[in-house]
Amino acid sequence: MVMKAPFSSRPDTLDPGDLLGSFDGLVIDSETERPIPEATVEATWAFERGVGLVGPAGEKTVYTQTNPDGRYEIPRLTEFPEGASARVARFTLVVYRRGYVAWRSDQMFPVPGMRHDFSQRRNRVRLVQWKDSWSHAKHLAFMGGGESIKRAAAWERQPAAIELLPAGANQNGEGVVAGPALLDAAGLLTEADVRALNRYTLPLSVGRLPDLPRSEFYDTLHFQSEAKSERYDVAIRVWRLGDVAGEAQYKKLLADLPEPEATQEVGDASARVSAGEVRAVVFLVKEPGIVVSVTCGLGQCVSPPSVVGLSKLVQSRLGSLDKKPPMDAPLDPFAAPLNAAPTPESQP
Amino acid sequence: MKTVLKQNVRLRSLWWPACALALAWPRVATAWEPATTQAGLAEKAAVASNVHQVLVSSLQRPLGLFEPIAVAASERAAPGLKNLWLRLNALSGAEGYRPSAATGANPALSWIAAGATVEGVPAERGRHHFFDPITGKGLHDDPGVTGGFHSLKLALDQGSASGGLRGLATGSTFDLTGRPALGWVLSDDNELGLPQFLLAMQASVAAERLDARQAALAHALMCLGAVGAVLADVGEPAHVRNDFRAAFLGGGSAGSWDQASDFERFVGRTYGRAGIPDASSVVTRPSLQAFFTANDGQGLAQRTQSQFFSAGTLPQDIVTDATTTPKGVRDEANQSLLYPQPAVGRLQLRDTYRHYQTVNGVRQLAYQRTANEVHFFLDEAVYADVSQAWLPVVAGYVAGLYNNLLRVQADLSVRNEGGGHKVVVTLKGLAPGATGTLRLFAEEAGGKRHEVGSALAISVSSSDAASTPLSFELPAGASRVAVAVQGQDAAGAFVAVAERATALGAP
Repeated sequence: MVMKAPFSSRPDTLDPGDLLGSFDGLVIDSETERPIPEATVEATWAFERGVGLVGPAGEKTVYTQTNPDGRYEIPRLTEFPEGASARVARFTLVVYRRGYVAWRSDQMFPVPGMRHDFSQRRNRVRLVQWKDSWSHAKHLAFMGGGESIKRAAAWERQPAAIELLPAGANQNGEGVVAGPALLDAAGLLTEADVRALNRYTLPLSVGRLPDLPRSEFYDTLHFQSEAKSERYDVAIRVWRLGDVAGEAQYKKLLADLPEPEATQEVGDASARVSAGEVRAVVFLVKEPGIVVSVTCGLGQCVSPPSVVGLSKLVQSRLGSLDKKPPMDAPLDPFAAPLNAAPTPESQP
Repeated sequence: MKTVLKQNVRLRSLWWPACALALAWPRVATAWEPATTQAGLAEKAAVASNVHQVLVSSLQRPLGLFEPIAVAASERAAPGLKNLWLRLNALSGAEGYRPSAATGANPALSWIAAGATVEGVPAERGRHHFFDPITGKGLHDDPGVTGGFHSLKLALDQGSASGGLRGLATGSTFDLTGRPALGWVLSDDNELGLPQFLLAMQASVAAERLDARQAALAHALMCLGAVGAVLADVGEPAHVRNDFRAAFLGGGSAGSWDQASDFERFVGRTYGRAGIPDASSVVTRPSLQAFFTANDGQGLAQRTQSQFFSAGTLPQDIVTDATTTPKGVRDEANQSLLYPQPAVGRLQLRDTYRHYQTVNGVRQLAYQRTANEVHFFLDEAVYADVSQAWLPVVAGYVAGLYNNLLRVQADLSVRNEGGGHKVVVTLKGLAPGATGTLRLFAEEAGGKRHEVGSALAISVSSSDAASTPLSFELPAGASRVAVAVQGQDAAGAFVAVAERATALGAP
């Protein structure tokens, strides 16, 4: 069974649309009216079942991107839920491009309200440019979306988290709880550095890896390709442990990594690793006891010197970290999976 | 009373044809839609609550509500989560709460929304979301003929594989009864209830492996969302007026199997998930139970029941003649009510236009005089006013409940004393008479944690006092330390967890 579509078949008619699709449309900037290419477009059919009491019963999500002309197409739904009461209940389109407010086919942001201008065919998605006065926390909650939307909007998690802390507090927990300042890897590598590697022009989101909690001893940076696979991702992990613990951590990493090749080309000690679609360099700076791993997908680091160059860049900026090493540091604070490529669901 | 009798006779005469039609002529239901309204309420409540601060400060999750928490594939297959994970797979990808199929990750906020949603999956779990604050009972409709037909429809819907026809024969299928919502929240066999929340929160810092701790935190957040969803449902009039038959099996919408109510669909359609209004002021109550019902009458179930009608608890239609007065109609209508409040007030019967009974600017009841009767009903104007006025209040209650469940905080500090290191734990937010058990865990190389100390009895005697600090020796090499406390105070059961890096650990 298919529920009645709450949208029209085209913008110029009141004829109801078909919940099953197909769908097509154009994504434009609401101010300039120019098409927006490479916007993330996610289409989801939600299924329901139940008699009297109704509940979710599955879904089908299709992901695409707008083409250079800003157009998208979503094919007709061909998979249906099973069961006598099962029904196709809703169709939702979510469109997102960094720098703009997310567009949903059912609701609007920042002024709440039902959207009435969505149509099945020839839909026009007018993306509104983001204003700094708006709330990232509310925006993320509004946006929803599946994996591709979450990945594209991952960069907003950090400003959103800061917004929700009490006045006077910061994301390190300062003002919320008395504790040591967390290590901050931001600035050790920039988006421009990554783009310069291979003249990469597609969208990148910048955040943290989700593997282990950030602490005063550990932090990460993750440059995640929004448009392509993790083969185009770059990540760094940084441990600031003090001289003794730092050296121990470095040795432990070498022991855990697959076939490390000692090269001594970065810091006081370094090694190259290559595994699957990822190249990596691990290096140690004995004073003040910092261990860094730089992992880079083969799509970005086409040759070993690329990742070595990145590592040297990071090393040159280690001074931006708090120079004061901890009095005592954990021997093995986090058994980070260094040999794993950055995961798709990464970032904060 | 003559009117009531007349209607009963009329109903009886139509009983069988009406039931026969039930299979093909759908009727209304009333509940917050799990996929949209419940999820939106959970998100608004979470943002308004202290959950973010607890995640940041106690659990060292810098992104708080936006921190990705991944459930490893091995944990998804574990007995405790396997069934839950299957239900998560039923959720829509458009709303942000469906975890990644590849990594099992969701932001903390989405885990809470997912919990609120899967509390309604399968839909029949909703039978346990009713609560009559006057009697303390849950759904207790007499199955009768309507119940029989409903069971038959469930059987046809589910097929024999899920109990269907056999369940129908043995009576184990949904027979229009359910546990009281409050009892369901407290039930040991509710995998998303309070007992599971307490266990999962502790496991989120106490489990030996990192994967298990991550999975436990996701489970705890889902429990938080689910318990909040049960509370939110007692903010829906039919759920506190024992109104399943009329509200859930009573009206019609899009198709023969679509039994969702006009009100439910209206709220879902108008607000979706993304458009649910922000919570009004966060409600503070002395205990979990008091969020539902209390002697002061400020439980959400009580406030909802006394302010709003549901489809099956409206005043009876009143037959009129030339001698009927508005006061007579009002008195007769009030005599027909199943619940004392709200009552029918002054009526405008001079014309045949549609009129509304309005309280504090909210239209709560529609009525219209026709040639020979006064008809009482709910329409979209009532739905619009009720949802606009009440959804923010419901979200405020849910936010308050989240705060209540996380009301006790453990403060951890590591001190260097006499050449050794000690962990000092202080509990804050305890109500008088608190007792409980505290367990301390140390994390060693490889992320494994093990218990290194415990205190069997913690206690505070005065209000708003912190516990006496408890001090423990910290083993050498411990890179992180965590504490889990479970106990009881005047506000009910509580759990407090915290962890932090130690800056210890000689090579």
